[in-house]
Amino acid sequence: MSIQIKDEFRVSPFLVLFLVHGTQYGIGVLSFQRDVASIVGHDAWISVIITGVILHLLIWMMYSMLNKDKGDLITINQHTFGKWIGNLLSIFIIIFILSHTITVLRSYIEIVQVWMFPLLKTWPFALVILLAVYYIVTSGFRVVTGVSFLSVVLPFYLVFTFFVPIEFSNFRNLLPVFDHSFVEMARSIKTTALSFSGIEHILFFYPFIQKPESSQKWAHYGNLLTTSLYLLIMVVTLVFFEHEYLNSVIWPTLMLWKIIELPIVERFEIIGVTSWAVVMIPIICVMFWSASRGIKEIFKVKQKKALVLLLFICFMISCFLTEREMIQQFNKWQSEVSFFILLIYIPILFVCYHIRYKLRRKG
Amino acid sequence: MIKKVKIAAVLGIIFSALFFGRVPSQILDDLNLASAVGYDFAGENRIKTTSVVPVFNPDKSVGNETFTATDELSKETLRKMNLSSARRLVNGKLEVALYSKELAKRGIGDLLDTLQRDPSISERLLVAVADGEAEQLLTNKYGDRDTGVFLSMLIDQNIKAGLVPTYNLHLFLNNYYSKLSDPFLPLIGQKGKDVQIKGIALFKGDRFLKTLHEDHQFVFKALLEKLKSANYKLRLKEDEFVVIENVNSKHRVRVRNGKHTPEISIGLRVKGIIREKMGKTTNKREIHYIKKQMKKQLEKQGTEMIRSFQQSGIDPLHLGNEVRSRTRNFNTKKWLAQYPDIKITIKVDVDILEKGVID
Repeated sequence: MSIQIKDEFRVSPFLVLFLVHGTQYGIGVLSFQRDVASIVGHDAWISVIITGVILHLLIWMMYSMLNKDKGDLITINQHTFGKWIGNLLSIFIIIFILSHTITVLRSYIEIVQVWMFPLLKTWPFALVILLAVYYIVTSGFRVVTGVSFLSVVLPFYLVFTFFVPIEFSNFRNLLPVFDHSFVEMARSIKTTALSFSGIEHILFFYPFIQKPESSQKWAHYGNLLTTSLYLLIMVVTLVFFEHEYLNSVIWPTLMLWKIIELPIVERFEIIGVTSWAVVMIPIICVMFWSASRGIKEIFKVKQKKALVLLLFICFMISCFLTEREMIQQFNKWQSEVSFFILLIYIPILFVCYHIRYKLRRKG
Repeated sequence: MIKKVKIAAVLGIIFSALFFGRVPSQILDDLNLASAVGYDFAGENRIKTTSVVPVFNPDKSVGNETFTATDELSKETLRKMNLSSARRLVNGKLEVALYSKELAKRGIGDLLDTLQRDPSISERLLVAVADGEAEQLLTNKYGDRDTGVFLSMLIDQNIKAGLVPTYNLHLFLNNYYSKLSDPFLPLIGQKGKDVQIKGIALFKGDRFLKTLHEDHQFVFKALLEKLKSANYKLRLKEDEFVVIENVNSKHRVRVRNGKHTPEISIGLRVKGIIREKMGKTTNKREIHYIKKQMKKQLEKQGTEMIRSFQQSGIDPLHLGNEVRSRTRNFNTKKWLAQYPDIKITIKVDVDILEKGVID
């Protein structure tokens, strides 16, 4: 019972790199350092590497299920847990994805409000972004892929800006290596879950890839790219900030940009925040695409209608999140749920699916 | 029908974005961009803020305009200053922030908050302590620039080629937040009509403690970073001096027994060129003597300086961080208790590379 998608709607396997990296690398990267460093201090870069390796494992698990099932998350859930429980689980995942879009959208608007325009209203800005998202997602998966390709390639120059703070850095801050216990390391991995999540969308767009089996290595490359960028940013942050100072900074990555001074631009972080709009759009697009696609399959409704509903919910909740403390609390919950979905749900699904698969073979 | 609804929706969104999504514009010509700000003590918990705004005259000369206001909070003084400013005063182009000595003695922690919290303030901002009143220092005009740019160029020049160690707001905050190290700032004062860097102000936490002894400035900078081109005056005999120029330096910290009672030995390697000497001759024996004397003098100055830091319980040289980075399960409290009594030795190696064009 596999899903067949017409060839003209599918994308080349190598584009999975941009889809995976594009959805991982977004809002979390601007602020993930503090939460990790507050637990493991100067060893935070190690937990970034460990998380990266764990995610490689998860990608492998997802592909091993998908390659057998030839479907997507909804069919896998149905085959593993039966129709009712399976669909219920899928709906939970869709709700999680929806709240993730709210996190990304609202966090970005908050950054614009704090760093650039304090008087900017949330709702007109959200409306314009969501209009663009509607336009992109209704144009189909190929356009969504194209947008995530551009969003990885166009702002790539920002990578070089992370080398500038090294001038004022002290590499002694990284020593001594591995000065924290395994328990602390494990706890710190939990805080990185939100910034690394994004790979779960493979479970949705797998049928839309030509020769999907061959795309696995590109998914791994995508995750590798994300991990190395996070590692670079984490190391630079740790050598640039003293530990106690880092604990009081909300967006360390934007603070890294504050030290950059160009003859024509006094405040580089404004260029950074503006470029981040390009980085952030495809995440929201891929997420909305996945969520609406899931609803379409479960309830057999048109994807466009599902999308309009999701956009409306996202818009309303984003507007209700008005204060920093509320947004922070929402992000915290989101991070907990991300951790649960990525590191508990997917491995359990993996085990259950393979048991069911073996049983069905025998039967 | 559906198409019409869609078009209406799109138009509605565009219109609402245009009407409600606007923020008030700030036109550069209608703003007063402050280039320097100074804080003075004005009674318990009150500060007097002075802002300097460059004025670009039609004859291409640059003048100064200063605003002053008194309040408990820095941002509130900004509002009060705006009461007497024709154009809105903003601080996005701030280059220098000065704290008067009196204010610094009472602690500047609360005043630093605005510099950190406001995203429009650069991390490269140069903070300094004013010897005397900051207002007095800022209202005067020096050189051909406005005071803010002049002061920032003055400090910058002395960081690059003089004896002010590399610092900016970011590095200052790093030291201020860190439990292991204490910050320092340059001390700026007036000398007649001119302004000059009078030395280094040492802080304990957010409070100004004392100024670094003039003789210790060279060794202070050498122990913080690599010197690229500095000058060093060496006393050979009672009234005989020699100047070593283009001094390069490197230093290395070694820590023994970090777990229990740390012992720190600092190796400093200095290379320089003789540029001016009293009592002309510079033969081989004389050079050897200069090297020996320089080593002795630097070691003496270094030991004295570190000893005085230990006595006042401050650590602007990041020795605590050096020990922390070499010790597993480092105990901050224990280190801070031990710090005044631990053994710190300094060993200097001197190389005289050249002696100019005469012998």
